Amino acid sequence: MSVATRTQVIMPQVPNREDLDATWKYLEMGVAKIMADLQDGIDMQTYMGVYTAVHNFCTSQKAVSNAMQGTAIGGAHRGAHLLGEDLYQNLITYLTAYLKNLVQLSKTHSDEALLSFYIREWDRYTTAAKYINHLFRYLNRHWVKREMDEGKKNIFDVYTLHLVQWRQTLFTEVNEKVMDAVLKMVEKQRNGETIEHAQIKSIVDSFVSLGLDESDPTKSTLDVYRFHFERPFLEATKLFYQSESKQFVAENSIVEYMKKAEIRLDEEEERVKMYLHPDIIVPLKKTCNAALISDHSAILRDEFQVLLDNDRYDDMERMYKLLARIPDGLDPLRAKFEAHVRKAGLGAVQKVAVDADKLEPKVYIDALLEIHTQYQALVKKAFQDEPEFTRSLDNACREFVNRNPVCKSGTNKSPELLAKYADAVLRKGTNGAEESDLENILNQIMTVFKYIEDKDVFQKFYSRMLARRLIHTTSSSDDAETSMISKLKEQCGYEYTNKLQRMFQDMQISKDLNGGYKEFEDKILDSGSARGVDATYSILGTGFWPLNAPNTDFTPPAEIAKAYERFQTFYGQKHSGRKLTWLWQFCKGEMKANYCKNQKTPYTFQVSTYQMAILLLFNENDKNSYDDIVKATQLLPDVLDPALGIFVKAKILTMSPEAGKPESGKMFSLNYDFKSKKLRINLNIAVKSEQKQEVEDTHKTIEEDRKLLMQSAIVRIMKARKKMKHTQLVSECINQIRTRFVPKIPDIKKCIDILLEKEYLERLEDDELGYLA
Amino acid sequence: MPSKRRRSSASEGISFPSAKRARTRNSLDHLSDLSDELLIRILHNVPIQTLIKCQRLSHRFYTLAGDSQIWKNLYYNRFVLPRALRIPGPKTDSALHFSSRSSKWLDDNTLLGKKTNWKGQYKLRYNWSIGACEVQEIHVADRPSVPSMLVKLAEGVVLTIDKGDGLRAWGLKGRELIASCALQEDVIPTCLAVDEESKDHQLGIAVGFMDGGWGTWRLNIVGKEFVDVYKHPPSSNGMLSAVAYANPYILTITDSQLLSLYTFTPAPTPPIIDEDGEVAGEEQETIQGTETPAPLDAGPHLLASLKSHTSWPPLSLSIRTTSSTIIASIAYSLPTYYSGYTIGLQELHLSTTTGTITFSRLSSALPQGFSSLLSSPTPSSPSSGASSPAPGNRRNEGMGSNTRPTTLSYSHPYILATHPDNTLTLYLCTSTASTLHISPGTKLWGHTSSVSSAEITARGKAVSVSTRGNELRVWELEGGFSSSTPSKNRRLNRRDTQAGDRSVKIRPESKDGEIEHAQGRSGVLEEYSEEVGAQKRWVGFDDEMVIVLKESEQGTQALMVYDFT
Amino acid sequence: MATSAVTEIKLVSNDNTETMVDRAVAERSMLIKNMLDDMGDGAFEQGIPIPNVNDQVLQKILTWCKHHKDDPPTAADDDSDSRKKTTDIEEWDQKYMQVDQEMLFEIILAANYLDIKPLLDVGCKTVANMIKGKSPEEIRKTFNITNDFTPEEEEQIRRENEWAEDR
Repeated sequence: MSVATRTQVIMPQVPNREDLDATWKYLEMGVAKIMADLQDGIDMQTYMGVYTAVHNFCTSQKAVSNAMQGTAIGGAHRGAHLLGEDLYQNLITYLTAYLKNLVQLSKTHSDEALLSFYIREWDRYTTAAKYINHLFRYLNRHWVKREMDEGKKNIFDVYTLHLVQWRQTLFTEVNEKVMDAVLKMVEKQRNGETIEHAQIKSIVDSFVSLGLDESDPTKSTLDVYRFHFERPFLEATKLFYQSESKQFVAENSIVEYMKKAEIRLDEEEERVKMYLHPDIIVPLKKTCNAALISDHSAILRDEFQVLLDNDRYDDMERMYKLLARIPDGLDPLRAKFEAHVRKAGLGAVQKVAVDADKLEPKVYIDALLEIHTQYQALVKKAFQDEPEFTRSLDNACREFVNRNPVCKSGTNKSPELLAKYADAVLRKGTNGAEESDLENILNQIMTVFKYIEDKDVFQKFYSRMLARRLIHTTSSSDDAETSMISKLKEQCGYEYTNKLQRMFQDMQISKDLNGGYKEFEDKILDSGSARGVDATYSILGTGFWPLNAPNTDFTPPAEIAKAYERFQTFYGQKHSGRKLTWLWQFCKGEMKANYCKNQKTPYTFQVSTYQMAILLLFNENDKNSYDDIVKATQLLPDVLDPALGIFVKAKILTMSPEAGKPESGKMFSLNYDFKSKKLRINLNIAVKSEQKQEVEDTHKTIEEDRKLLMQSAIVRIMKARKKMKHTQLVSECINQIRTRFVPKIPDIKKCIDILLEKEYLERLEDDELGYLA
Repeated sequence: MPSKRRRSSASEGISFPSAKRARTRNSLDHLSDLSDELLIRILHNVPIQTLIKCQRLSHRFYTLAGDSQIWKNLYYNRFVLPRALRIPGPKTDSALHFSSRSSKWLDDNTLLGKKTNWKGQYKLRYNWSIGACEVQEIHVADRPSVPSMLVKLAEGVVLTIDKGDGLRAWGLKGRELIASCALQEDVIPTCLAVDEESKDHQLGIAVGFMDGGWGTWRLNIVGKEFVDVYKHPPSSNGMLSAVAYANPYILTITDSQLLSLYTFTPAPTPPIIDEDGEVAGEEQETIQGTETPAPLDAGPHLLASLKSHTSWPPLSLSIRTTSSTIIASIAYSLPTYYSGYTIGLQELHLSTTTGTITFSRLSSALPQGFSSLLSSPTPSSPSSGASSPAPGNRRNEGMGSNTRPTTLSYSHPYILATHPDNTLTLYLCTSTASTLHISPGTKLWGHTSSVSSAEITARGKAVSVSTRGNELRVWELEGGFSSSTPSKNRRLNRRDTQAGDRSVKIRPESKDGEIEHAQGRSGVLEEYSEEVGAQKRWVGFDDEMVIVLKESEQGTQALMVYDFT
Repeated sequence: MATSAVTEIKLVSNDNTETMVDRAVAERSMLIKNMLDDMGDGAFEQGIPIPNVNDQVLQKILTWCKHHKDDPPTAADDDSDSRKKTTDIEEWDQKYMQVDQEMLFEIILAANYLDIKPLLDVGCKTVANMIKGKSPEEIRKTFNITNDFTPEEEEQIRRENEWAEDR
């Protein structure tokens, strides 16, 4: 063959395939060349030559054919024997020597120079490893793969082998020094100097790459990185911030320290993004939090009260954010906050409660609301509406709403006052609040209502006052009433508002009924007989209305009697079997006074039915004695006396002798000279004593209702359980009733005794109670 | 693009080893010239029948065709992959690809990473799958034992115990007695258990006695001797009917259903010793007994004890330990009103750290409902016709009258019950932190006479034996519950997963191979047919062998060893 | 850098024949693909030496590479799923493999050397098909294998494997 000069392609010279020494010598040269000056590029001949030499050695059969002859039948189940181990071992020897040399070289460097050295050599080595891995691919494909398949430990593909060798030979020697250098740099940066952080990033990457999972080479772990980088890094971080914060706290105010800590924490997070492995973020935060916050949490918390007292919202927010980072950091704040709110609440109540009896509901409720509003704003602004803080606020509010100087006698004063406030708001003409305002006020009422423990007390008072508003049609707005009821329903459920709704329904039904009655009346009065009085009637279901039958006898005057008998007939036809009880005490009417001298247009008196009965007597006689009036009306003095008192006071009647109260022996005569600026005069005025009486009555009924409620709860529980320990029953009972009021244990025990007496329950052995069907 | 060719005029001066390889042998034998890795690659592509022929070509091919990696691959495709498909659970295609070093080998992982003889393993599994084995007998006693001899198999050792001959151990490799140890004069063994966590060639053994006492021994397999470890004195609670042992825990139950759990670890708190050992304090009596110093271990103390009113024999005890809990279970048969017997399971969970009971719970299998495994009403066994043939109640027929099981084998999560009506019932338990549930039973048909004993492993492999007629069956029951719905798994299962087809009858060959045995479904082995009266009392197995305790009409007792290797 | 400007490269066989070939075709060989990636474009303008393959075989190999140049790249894990069924050789490959035994083995050796896994598989399957179903004697005859067993040894092996024979 002739030699061509034009082409430079030269076939690589490859050593004899079966000669290990020659092959290795050849390979070593190639590998060394790659390690040493890969930058200059390696030539094609070396590349192909090394690959081919590896291939040829592994496919030579010299060793195999020799080993073969000895195989006995029935033995050796391992089977094939692949070549390559010698190359693999030689490569290890070469790499170890190479790396040992690097270790020596590294000793001449320190600090940043060492980092540069490490990074340079690492880059060179890993790049070379990629090449060598490709050149030894035949070894990887067959010998290495089979060794792994057979489960051999510590056999790696050639690239991984390079990493393993680096770790074993070089890394173990230099990693601490490298880390020292890294930590020095980081400290410099923490002290405000600029550093070349790309270097640290390279070190991190290198350490991460060395994390090989020995049991499964396809996976990597962070173990090496965690132990050799993360651990010392965190330790250094801890020491740095411990000493820094100690000094800072000694020289600055707490508020200043909090600002500093906030900045430091942000910086560290930024550091992770800049050049650390993302895996470190959680432990790093933990370390910083410990050094910067936990170690100083006591003094931080001490400062909290000061901040609270001075309404330092921003600083409280800062403190909240800092302490939120550490476990259980906020609990002490919440406790302090709760105590503070309670104290503030009690203080506010104290201020208005100088005279508890004359306390205006509005003043009281406003005082409660003010505190709540103030601290709810604080929770929102400084504590980011965190649920636990909201709960602390609720706890504090519940405390001062139910147990405060106004409620000295018991927890039922607050619900009573709240109900009165609600009545005042909803009654016609008290303050003429705008519709939207009204809704706001109702919401405020509900805010307080939420904290009320004795919800049953509120219900009682509210329903009584609602009844009065309905009967006397003094509601300012039906919409507002409905809105309030639906709010209550939302909070306490259907049962709680059931009666209130039924009251509304009754009023509606009554309206329709009156229409029907008018027709009925028109028909039977066709004959032209006088209608007498023009009356409307309200039919109120006994079960739903908190109203009692009159506590006095009463003979209605003849003028009314005809009309009401007619209505009774009408109602009896419509609903046979229903019994009507006349609630005279709630009836009222208007009368025209035609008798007055000096007055052309007659006065109109607005009066109760009782008053009406009294005045009508004067149609017959200008003078009536007290006893005559009693005889004619059958009214008891409790009712009669105040009614007469009003007439005397208004100078409609004159009493003789003038002195003293209306009583037996006094004479009453009609005052023809009656004068008034107004044409309509309301004489139907409730008397203070009546109101007080009503409050007491209400409280009494509440006690009765509670007893029933407890008893029915006990029976319900026992019916389900059949047998129960006494103490268990009590606590279960409290559980069931708590949404309505907080029952007292002695009361429950009393109820249990009653039920034992009535033989609903029986005593069993061992403090157990049994249910008797 | 057409490749341009031109003759390069490169130098010939380069001395490159000839392109023609240096042939070392017959220059025409291109095949043998290939390096091992290439020949292996080729042999991966031939079926087993060809592979074994290749072994006969030459020494080189003998070695290569027996290559462990080739057989490992065959083993995987034949045994591991189908099982992986059978077990319910999420599957991705990639998860089912053969990979020699990942963890997709299920329980067969134990074989990985070692220098396993994969061809040998393949053969073993293959023989199991077709029921091929060699059989041998070990004579153990000349006369019947009363009560019957108790047998267990573990770590290649068969343990037997009876009143006459005491505790004995038989090595399966050499088929010989390796150790024995006499019992005390007056004690009668009633139950036997092997430590489920034995290791290092030491077998922990627990034996319960008629008199309510129990004892533990340790067998040193290498040193061939029994070591008497501990003896628990008799108790007035009566005969122990079952025992389970997972060192340091011992679980016993008396024939009056008093379940007791002991531990050998020191008590965290001293046991309360009640002077009045009469009432419920019967147990305290035994606790007092523990004060006598035990020879090696400290005396056990009672962790828990409870009395069951519902568990009827037969029953099976077991102890499982996890990292945080010990679960002591009792599987028992349970009579139901309408549908005969079913299975109940009670679990006692104990904390490993405190040793106290965290909770106890029980569950029972629903009376067997309609299962499509039983797609045809199959009252194949006459004795199952005992149910009231109420019209319209056809569903319950055949399965509604579960006869009382003769034995139970519980190896979580499987419970296998044997019935005198030639059937077995398989139950699957689900035990999680929150629930305990037993599936309705699945009837297994295949035996042609009353099933006297069966054993199941946690992997769902079971062996059952009929009292008479030399009928021994191997069952692969794992994942079988899902076979009621036609699934694509089917096509990978070579056998269709009909209940009746899930077992294989063992076809033994005598060791010397002189006698040709009749084979097949109905065949009764001639050699043993003379022993029609022989009764098979117990069966157990390990990876390589099945052991059956046989009692002949003359009363001699022997262990039958069915060797699948 | 894999998809660089160079689209045609020069291969030189060990008998110094140069062949210009599409880069995509040559990269069916993992050896060449890795090399191109490693060395960059400048390094091989003068041609890539293939010291273990002669021109005749190289041309045959390149024929296969051209036909299969658009095949999807083979999976990284070269485990043995594709080894399952010997009959799975596509028609074109079957025809391609209709060569004398010497060439067949040269293709296998070259595919192995050049690291072209799919071609190596086709080669191995072809050989496996030649073995399949034959008796030991037939196999020996097909490949000129020398029997170095004594008759006793061969019988011993036959018995050892009896269990796996067809029943």
